[in-house]
Amino acid sequence: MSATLTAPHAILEQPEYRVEGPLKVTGGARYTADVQMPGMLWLAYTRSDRPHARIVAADTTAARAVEGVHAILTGETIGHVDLGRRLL
Amino acid sequence: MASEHALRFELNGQATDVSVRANQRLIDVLRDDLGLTGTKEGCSVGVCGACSVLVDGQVVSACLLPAVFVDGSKVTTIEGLAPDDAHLTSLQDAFIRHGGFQCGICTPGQIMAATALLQENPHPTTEQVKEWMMGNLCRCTGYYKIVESILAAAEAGSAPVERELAGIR
Repeated sequence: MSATLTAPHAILEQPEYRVEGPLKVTGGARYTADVQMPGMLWLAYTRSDRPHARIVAADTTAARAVEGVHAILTGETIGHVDLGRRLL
Repeated sequence: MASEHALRFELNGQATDVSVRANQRLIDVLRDDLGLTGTKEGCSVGVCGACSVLVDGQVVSACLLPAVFVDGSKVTTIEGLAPDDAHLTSLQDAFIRHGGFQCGICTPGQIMAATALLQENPHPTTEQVKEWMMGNLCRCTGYYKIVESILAAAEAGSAPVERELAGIR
């Protein structure tokens, strides 16, 4: 019985080399922001400039006119979906 | 439209020619044009130190420096520190062994800043390490382990250390 207990204890007494260590100290670790895919688009948020207001409409004409803009998503695009705090 | 400029500089020991726009920052050229994503962008305003690189041996925030400024200089990023695939610098090794990081996002900047410190002052005191590293923020470690790692590397000296075979490569 004691023999089977010795092995796990021995593991606990040894410092363990971090498996992801070399990747993180050499810049080799890939995070989400490091990934580039062919044809990848960039996203930018526009938030309300009023701290406490009801959004009744979003005029996206100016944004749509900018060269290279592929899509504009607003609350209207998504429609009525219960998410976040509305679930509570 | 921003004007285009041809640059030649030494990047991690390699002669590098790139064409950059006047409004591109060094971090944009490193990450987006040259694919060196080891340099991280944190705050984008020169406060957090995540994007620290060495330009002619000096620590610089790559998010603040227009790329055109590095023309003719020597730039070192985190990818350029280890001498080869089989070794790490003693500082990189110390960060692993002394728990100098958790998530690893600030780590490239921490290691670049500490590399510059040890080049200037190979045997810093704890206070000197804290003072020097003030420009590098970390949300995980609470800093004790980072200071410990740098002091351990100073103790170990500047010779590269063999890379452990354990781990993901």
